Amino acid sequence: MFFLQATSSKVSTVLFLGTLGMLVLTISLVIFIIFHQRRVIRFQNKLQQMEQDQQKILLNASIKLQEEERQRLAADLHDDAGPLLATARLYLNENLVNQDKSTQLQSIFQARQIIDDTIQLIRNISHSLMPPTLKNFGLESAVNDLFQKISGSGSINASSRFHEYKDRLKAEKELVIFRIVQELINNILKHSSASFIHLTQNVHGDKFYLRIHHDGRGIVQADFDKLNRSTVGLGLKNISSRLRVVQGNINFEKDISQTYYKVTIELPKDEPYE
Amino acid sequence: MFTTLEFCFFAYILWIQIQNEKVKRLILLFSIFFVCFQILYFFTTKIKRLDSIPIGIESITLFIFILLLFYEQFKTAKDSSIVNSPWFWFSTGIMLYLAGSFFFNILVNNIDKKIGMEYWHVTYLFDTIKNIFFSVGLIFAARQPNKSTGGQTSSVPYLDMI
Repeated sequence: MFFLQATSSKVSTVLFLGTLGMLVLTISLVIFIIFHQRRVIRFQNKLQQMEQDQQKILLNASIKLQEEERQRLAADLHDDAGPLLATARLYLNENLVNQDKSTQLQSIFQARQIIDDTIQLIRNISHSLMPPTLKNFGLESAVNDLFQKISGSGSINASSRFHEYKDRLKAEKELVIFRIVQELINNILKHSSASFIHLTQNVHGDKFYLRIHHDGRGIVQADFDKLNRSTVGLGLKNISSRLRVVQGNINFEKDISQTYYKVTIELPKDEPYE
Repeated sequence: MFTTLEFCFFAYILWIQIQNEKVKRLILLFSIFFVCFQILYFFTTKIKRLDSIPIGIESITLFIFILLLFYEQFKTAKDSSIVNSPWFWFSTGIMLYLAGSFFFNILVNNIDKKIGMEYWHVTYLFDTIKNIFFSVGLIFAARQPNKSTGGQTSSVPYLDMI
């Protein structure tokens, strides 16, 4: 009888402790899961915050670039066009009617020369804002034109080839791509000491691709991302913000042969240009 | 009969929540195996008070399924808190219910009837807790919006030098 009682009380203890142990384990597991998940959420929020900061940097870079462009325009107009027109006005003052005929003709001729110069200057400013080749003949012609001009300088070998560009992209998209290409070429010319630059274009499915090769000093994707996060490298941030507008991607890499760098731009190919 | 129905019900809840096809198949296979075992056990073994062995197997199996679900949810990080997910409440409810009644269910045939009756009431407490957790889970499930996913990949075409 005593043995049975002892066994019964032992089983009862096992039952009590076992149930308690199971509950403690279960509750600990649930608490661990909740806290771990909170930590993951906090980490994700931090990442999101970093991304937002990055976007803010890009936006600031874009605004800064716009302001710089406006300042350059204002300076061009104020420093070049302004004095030219003021000089032309001087030649055509009220006293001109009281001058002799030869002086009048000379003044008119001078004023005309100055106005012609002003027209040329304004045309140059206008072309720098929107290249006429791009507007009239499209991205292919504008890029070929740009590369011919670079090659024409004799200091670097530049060439471009469009494999499939029968259907033009929208004008706004072409302008964005052209500006990105200009910025990349500008960077290559300024920093890489390359002896050649080559651009190729192709399409695949609903994607449009552009790739620039050069044999100078270059950057890889990690450098690009790092520069994008830093406060320096305004041009690269501008590339990022422009790509964001056209929903494109850019990839900087070194070729497998380690002899040249590649920059690949990828963006969705939309409806043909109308 | 009750154990079979209970196992199938809990396994179905977990089966809905789990996304991994392999784990889903495992749950399905084990459920079929468990039902067969239960039928066999019912006809071959004389049950004293409770079918302790099938309940023990049921509890351990469901614990494993829940751990697999938690592992899967760990791998796929979510934006919102885990507490807002219905699956968390369902799983926790099942776990607490099984943890609270596991030892009683496997030892009930070996303890004194008087003690057995006392502990029997304790299992009702865990049953109630499970029902409360299920209710909370259902509230969160009703509040959840429908989700859809999508995505595509593409390769880079010929962009060689010449």
